[in-house]
Amino acid sequence: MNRMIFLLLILSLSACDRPSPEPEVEPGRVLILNEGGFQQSTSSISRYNDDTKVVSQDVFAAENGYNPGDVLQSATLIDGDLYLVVNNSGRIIVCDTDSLSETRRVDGFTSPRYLVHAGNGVAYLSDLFGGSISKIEVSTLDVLASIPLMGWSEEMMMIDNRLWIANQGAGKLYVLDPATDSFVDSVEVGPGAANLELDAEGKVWVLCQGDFFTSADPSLFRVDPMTREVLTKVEFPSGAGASDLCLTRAKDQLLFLQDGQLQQLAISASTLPPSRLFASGSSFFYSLGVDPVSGEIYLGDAGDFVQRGNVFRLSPAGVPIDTFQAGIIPGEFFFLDK
Amino acid sequence: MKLLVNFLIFLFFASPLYAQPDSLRQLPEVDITAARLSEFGVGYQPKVLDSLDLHGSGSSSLADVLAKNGIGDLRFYGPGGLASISLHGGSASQTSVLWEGIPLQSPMNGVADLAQLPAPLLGRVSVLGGASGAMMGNATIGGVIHISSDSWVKAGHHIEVNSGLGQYGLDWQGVNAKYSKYSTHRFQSSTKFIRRQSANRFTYREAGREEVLTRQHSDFQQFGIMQQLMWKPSIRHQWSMNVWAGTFFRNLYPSASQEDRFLRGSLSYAGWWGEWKIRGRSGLNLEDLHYADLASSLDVLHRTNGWFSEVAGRRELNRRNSVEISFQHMLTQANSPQLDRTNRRSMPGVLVSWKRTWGDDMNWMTACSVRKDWPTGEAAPFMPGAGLEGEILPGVMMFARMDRSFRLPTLNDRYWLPGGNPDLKPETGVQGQLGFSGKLSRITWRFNGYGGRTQNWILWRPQGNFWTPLNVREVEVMGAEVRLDRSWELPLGLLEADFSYTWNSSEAIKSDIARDAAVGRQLIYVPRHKASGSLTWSYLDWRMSYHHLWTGNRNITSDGEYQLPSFFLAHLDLSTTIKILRSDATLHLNADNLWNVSYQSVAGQPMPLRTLQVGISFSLSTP
Repeated sequence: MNRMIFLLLILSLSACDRPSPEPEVEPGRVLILNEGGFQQSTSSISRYNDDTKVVSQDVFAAENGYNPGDVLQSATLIDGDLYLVVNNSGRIIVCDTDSLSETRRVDGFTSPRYLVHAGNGVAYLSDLFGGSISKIEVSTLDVLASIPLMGWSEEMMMIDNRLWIANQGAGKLYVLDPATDSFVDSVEVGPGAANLELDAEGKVWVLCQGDFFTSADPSLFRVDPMTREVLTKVEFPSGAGASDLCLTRAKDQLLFLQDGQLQQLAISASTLPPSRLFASGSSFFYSLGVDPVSGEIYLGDAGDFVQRGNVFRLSPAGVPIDTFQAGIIPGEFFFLDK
Repeated sequence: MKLLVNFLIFLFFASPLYAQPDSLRQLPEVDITAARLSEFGVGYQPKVLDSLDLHGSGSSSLADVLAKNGIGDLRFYGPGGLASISLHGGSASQTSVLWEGIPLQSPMNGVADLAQLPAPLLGRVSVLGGASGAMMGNATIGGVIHISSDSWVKAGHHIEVNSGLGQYGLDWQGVNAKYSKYSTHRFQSSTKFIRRQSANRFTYREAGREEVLTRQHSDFQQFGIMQQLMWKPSIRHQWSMNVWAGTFFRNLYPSASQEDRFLRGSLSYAGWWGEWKIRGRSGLNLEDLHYADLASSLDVLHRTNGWFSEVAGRRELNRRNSVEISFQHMLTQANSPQLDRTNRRSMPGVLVSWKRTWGDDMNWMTACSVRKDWPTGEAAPFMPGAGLEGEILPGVMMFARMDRSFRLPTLNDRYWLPGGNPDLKPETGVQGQLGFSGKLSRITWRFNGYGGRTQNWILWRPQGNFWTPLNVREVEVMGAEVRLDRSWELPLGLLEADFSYTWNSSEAIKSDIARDAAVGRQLIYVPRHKASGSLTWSYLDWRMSYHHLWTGNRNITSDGEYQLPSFFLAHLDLSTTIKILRSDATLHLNADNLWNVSYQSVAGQPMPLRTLQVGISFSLSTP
């Protein structure tokens, strides 16, 4: 009988809820934005400390008690706050960069992609399906204006008080004057214009991903933002795929993904080199980032897209350093200041 | 028990024909696919849903009825949304769904939407778990669901009219009219109609939150009509014709809508020509899927055609041996802006089956089948299969099967623009199963264990700027099912109880993906553990059923890091029949999710809290 009582006591004690220790979040400055499964709301943020080499998973959910939403698309730093754009949830979340604690959240956008700060308390938001660019008041996230722009608008950047917008459908770069919210020019590039970078010589690079239906192959264009003339066009081989455009720390070399492998191109070049900077057997890289401080290269491998992806860290010369795990579909890398 | 009941019903209807002097062989059956299964499907233990199961759940879809009975792994994208099933740990596209022998899976994505199959229109459903490539052909790695129309009924006019209301704006109406005539020949006509619609603003709770939310923009409307004609000009010949047309419109949260329209028909013949029993069938399935999304300005119409034909001849060589040879042809084609225009699959095939009965009491049977299909531009593997069943101990039956099976790439897999891969190999598998059944005291028990492997598992992966399907994994499946049934005769009626438990391990064991964390993990959406039980009480014209189901954790990522939590679900069905003049009026009440549980069948797709339906049906029979 005593044994029975003792056993029941043990069982009852073991059934008590013991407070489980909160996982330690390393204060890393590399954020990996994991898209999560489409319509599954499994997006997350992984935080990598490049000093201690420790990665913390699901740091946003740990702080806020919920995942960012459905397809975490991009992040933008504005006045010390981090603005997360959640594509299929039509959502923008504002959070503190240290703790990632949410301070504001607004839903109701159509299919937001990228947010760019234009100064004077306003930002512009591109959209996949909305057929417009939204002008947002940064402090409230209110939409101040909706500027019609047909087709899928993707990455944007501010150059000399002008907003440059890459438009996939039109295959053009549009130039908007934020003072009047009117378009002042456009530059014809190639089908699938998606990614923008500004190189060391102040020239704009746009990566055009091509268009399968018109058999248009990907292409890279270098544009002079002053004259708005195309300076260089780099063509890809027929049937190739291209995505994700970055610059090295010195901004004199382009990095991008060609057929899921890492490719490098000098900003003075006009033809693609025959070999890749880094290729990894059966990996097909989905995302690319370059640390503006260390110059290290980050490559995201999404695996089968329904499991945690892996991140490959490479030296600025493209030599593998290590790999670590991230969340489901690591889609973007965001580097906070030291 | 259902199998037994069904067998008794079959005997009941078949017995008048056995009594006739020139019908020594067997009643020529309308359904040649089901006939082949019943004749040569030795070693299977099918689960059968009869009209009581199918028509006693209000306006439910076949998916709802299967889920309530704990059959298969259902994935619901909410009420009115897409519902698919997988059997024996396979994927949804590895389970074939047939109506009168016609495949109902979309030839584009290989999945049948069971939400679009209203249970009241269906006569009988047989669920065959496990590989059956030799017997049933393509896409049967996980199993087959075979839907039949009505059987013969007694002579006279029979009409049933039903109507009902449910929560969240649901209402439905249905008619089932039959005419059956016996004379020198036999004739039967059956006309069924159903209409149901729902605003579908159901309430739900998100995981871990107390706030009750209301679903928006998910209304649906369904309309269906089915006509069946059976004609038996003599005892040796029978003709049958089935036509089924319908539409299903659904709004898809938040900005898209989908409308499905279909027309299906089949013409069948069965008859004796000398020593040969000849069966033939030709069936057509025309489907339109119109998808529109305001947000993306996408407006697309997919049109698919499937044409199935079969001629089979069976002969009894002697008292113990019979053979059947069957020639089949399946033609599928899609007209879609997202598919290459060359898409078209013509697949002739031949199937040979042999069955032998032995033992002193003819209580052992074995059957072997071999199939070979020749799809255009593809290589389908040679498909053998064999089964054995018999009484190993007094009152204890053994069932054993070993089958090879395959799944050809779908039209999307081969012809999608961009990314279709014409070089894909078919998924191929081998599965064996061993089962026993018997009676212990007053408990009827059934056990089935199975295991197998599937190679060349197809997954879509990015290549260049678009996604493309590739043969990337090998998957191993093992499982066991136990079912217990018992009944009690009470002073006030009959009480029946059943319990079932399923354990299933479906894991990737090889992969071509670098560092694939899916290897060694349970496949997504396949629960490792599942259990269900039900209690049914019948007294005079009253019937009450309580179903209680438990579904274990399900991975929603292939590395098992993210899971949907396990959940309990309960359903209550109550009905009573009242005699009004010469008609019967049946009132029924259905309560789904009785205990108001928050759960998800598919991640991100909430399911409703407690939902009530009430309905009434009037039936009248005249000689």
